[in-house]
Amino acid sequence: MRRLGLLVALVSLVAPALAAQEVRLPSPREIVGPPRGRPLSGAELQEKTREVASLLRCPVCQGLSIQDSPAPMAINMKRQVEELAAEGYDREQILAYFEASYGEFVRLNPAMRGMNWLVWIAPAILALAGAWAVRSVLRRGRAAAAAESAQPDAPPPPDPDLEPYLRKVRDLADAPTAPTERS
Amino acid sequence: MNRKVLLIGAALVVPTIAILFLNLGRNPHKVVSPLVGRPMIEFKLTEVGSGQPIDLASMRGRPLVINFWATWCLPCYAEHGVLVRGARRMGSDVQFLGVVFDDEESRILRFLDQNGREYPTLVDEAGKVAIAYGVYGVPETFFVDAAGTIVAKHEGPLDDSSLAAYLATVIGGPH
Repeated sequence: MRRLGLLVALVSLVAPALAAQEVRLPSPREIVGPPRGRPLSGAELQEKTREVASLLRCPVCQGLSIQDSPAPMAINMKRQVEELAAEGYDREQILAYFEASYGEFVRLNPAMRGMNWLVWIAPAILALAGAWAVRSVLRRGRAAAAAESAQPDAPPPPDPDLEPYLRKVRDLADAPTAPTERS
Repeated sequence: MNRKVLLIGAALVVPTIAILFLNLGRNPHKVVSPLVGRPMIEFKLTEVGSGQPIDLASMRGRPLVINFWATWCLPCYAEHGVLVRGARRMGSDVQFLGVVFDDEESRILRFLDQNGREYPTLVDEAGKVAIAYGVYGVPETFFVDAAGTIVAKHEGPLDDSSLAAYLATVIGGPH
């Protein structure tokens, strides 16, 4: 009888704690479809969890992944990543699952779609543009040097805007000088 | 050549200035929740104190205010009073719910004893509901209309006027 009383007391203590664990949310399947991979366990699961967790931003940190963050929120998220990977959801599905709640901001690497392509290709475009600019400057410099060495003492080409003035100066120089009166 | 350089420079500078100009006054830390405009995510959690499970599905048909908070969050203390007053004022017209994560039940009970309890407070032990709602930090509050659509999310503590404005959007008219 005493044992039964103890058991009842134990159950009454444990029951609320067990009940408190109850959380019912929509299945990930409803959000990202059925798992595309196979269920994982052991070292494979740990590796997958690490890989995906390092791609997810810790929402309460500054630029840290949930893999690197010690924040409770990050730990909870990482636990969920592990659960999803264990069920066979692949990397993209797990990222999409978190993105459905947090938006694209939760991805540390922006997905290659829409305007995000700019983020991926802009550095390459800028590097190419820079290389082109450097090449043209070098080519122009080389061409100028080559022209100079071909005609080292050649006078510079006449400026058409200055031509009338030059003509006037030449005329004045060629004209006979008139006697001037001294006062 | 000068014209070419000018065109390339303009092609780089004009879009940059346009982007900067369009984003003037925007908070770079604010992230728009993808959940706004979508149906609320239904969940079932246990109420603090009573241990009774509360299912969000059973609350359909009434506007909801779902507040994520924790006892270790200082702004939550001031905000709790605002929510208690709001819940009292709205009565059965709007269902308020508190969801606490990353916390201990004894602390939550003490907090509620000291700061008032006007609506159910649920415990989200593993933070799954908070993650499903894309919670970044506490406090954060979601406003759900009677049709079950999330119409707004507020980050940070609410005050009386902002709560009234949000309630007006879920229920219609000033409150």
